[in-house]
Amino acid sequence: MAAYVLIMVLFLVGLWAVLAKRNLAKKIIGLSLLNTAVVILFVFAGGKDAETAPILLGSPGLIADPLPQALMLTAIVIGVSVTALALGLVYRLYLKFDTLDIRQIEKALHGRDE
Amino acid sequence: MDAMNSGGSHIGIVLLLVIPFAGGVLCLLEKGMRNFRIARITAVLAVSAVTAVVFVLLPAVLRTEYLAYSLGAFGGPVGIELKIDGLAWIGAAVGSVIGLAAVLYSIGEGISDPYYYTLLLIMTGGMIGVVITDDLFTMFVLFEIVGVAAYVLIAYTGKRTALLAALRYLILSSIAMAVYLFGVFALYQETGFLSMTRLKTVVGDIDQRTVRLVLAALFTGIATRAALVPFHAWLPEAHAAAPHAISALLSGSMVKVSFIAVWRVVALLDTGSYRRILLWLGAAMALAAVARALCQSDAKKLLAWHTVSQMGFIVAAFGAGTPGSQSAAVYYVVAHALFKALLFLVVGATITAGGERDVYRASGYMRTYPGLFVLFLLGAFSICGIPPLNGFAAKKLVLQSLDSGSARVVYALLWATAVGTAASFIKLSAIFWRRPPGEARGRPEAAPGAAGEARGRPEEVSGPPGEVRGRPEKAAGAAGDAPESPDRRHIPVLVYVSAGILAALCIATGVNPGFWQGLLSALLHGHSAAAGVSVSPVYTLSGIIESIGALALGAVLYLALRTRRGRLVTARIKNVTVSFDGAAILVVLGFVALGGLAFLGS
Repeated sequence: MAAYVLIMVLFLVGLWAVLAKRNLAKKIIGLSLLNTAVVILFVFAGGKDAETAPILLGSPGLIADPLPQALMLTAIVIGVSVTALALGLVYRLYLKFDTLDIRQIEKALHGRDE
Repeated sequence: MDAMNSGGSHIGIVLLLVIPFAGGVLCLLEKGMRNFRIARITAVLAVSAVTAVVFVLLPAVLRTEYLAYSLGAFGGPVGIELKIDGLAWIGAAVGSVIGLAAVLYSIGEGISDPYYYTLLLIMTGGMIGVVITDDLFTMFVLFEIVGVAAYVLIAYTGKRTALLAALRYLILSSIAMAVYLFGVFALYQETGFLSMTRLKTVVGDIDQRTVRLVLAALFTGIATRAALVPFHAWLPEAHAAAPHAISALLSGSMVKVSFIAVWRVVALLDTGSYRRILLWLGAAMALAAVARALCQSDAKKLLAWHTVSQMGFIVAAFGAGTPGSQSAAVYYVVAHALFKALLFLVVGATITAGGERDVYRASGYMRTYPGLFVLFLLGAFSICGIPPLNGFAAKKLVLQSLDSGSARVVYALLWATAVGTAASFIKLSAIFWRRPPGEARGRPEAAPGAAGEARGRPEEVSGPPGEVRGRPEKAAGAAGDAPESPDRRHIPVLVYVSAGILAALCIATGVNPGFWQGLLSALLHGHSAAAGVSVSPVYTLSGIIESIGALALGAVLYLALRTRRGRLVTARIKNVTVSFDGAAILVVLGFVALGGLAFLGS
């Protein structure tokens, strides 16, 4: 149960960073935390204490359910690519605005359409 | 279980994914061989081939409930199944046709970058994948594929607004997708399945509170992509900032396939309350978004808000929940995909060529671009619901399906939306018919409107310093292209071809609504059930009067907004904007509200 609470905390910290931090780079870190929390949730709930890794060499003993782990490998890869892309966008924004602060960026754009 | 109603395996299904993804990779070969137009040729061939495959699959899809294909022949609960039923077919058809138009238009606009076509193909393939996958996790993967391609394409111009719009969309959908994954997790823990076909058989046995929580999570994830209020705050910026072909693709197909995914998830897990919410949400968002659209000064942002508004019609019809309203919703999906993509392409071509995208300042494009004006009229008449275009038929079918009980209120709200739609398209069309300011002064009696606009202008002029700086260049380029007239620019043939295809389809799906309604009902409910759905006549006298009435009131509303007071109201509504963080907070609040509903419900 404590583990679930920790995962929840991790998720909320990530969410807080995305919503409340003014620095775009910190928002992206928040997104990463958010994603990681869900990944940990899948992997943690997907296996129990006595189970071993789902590698079938000999007779299958007590193994963890391989599906959540396989899914999370995919989710991690996606998370990394999205983070990389997001950082690329943030860098381009920095080059245009000379700041990472979202409020200043929005202020600089103010009056421009919306 | 799988063999029960399936028309068996069909290789065509997997081609729908393989062709665009492989095509996308092939486009990159141009990086090595710059002398050949590999990217453009491959892109055209790939989207044409996908469109062909989709239509080849149609008879088979009509014959059976669904066609399935097991990727890698894994089978069982661990394999990934692709499944095409009627709804998926419609999504795939919309995705491939709009993709074709977008590719042709991009080539016409002279975009030669291979990366652009790679991303465009990947996005098209991903969108088709979203509708044909049977597996919730694969759907997540495909949504992210579509997303990553879309983020880059939105930011493609590299302008400040485009970069920020792309980042906003990225953050919103990443939050939404994390929530979606949480829903997938809860569902997998509870049932051990991710395939929607399998879940359908067990969903009744699990705790209803969990089901509702899962639905809230999945709905939040997908509704953000489908831009349903309150998850919509990324859309206007992104649609306005993207290259025109990408706007058409986002608005025409991406939002639609996401809505089809919403449809599936709600159909799978909902016990009734979501449809009720969607019925009212649809009406509310249609009306609210049309008010926002009416107040925009940027031509593409105006169109973008209309996408949110028009989604309201679709969502409301879906929420009504009767078989008739379901096929009306699908009809609207197809119609809106066609006419909105058409409008984005035509308006995009016009403002690129004319160099002015502010609705209050652009003028006289009718004379310089008569061909585009005709195409624009077809799109605008369609969205305003003027017969015999598909928008009229779609709107009538949706309204007819809502003509009973408390849904009549929704009916009235949607009709009011139609009035606002007419008014804002009269406003947008001014970029074609308004006389250029110089002429207006010469003939004051002929153009009181232009003079009125000229007076109204100072409020709007204050705007974008960056954009103003950009404009003289464009004008100079235009002058260089066409020496015979200083403000006329050559419109490439492919632009007309791509928009022409969409316009032709708008007419084709409009003149014979009975046939299309029958086809869509058969796709949706199967032949036997479709026979039970009455195909109601669309071209009735009262329906046409209703349309004309909306148009007339729209004209009145347009004139009212041109008065001094009207302009003040317009400016005030236009200035209500959602900040970057506000947009993300809306998504979270939306999820919290839906999650709360899961616990409150009986």
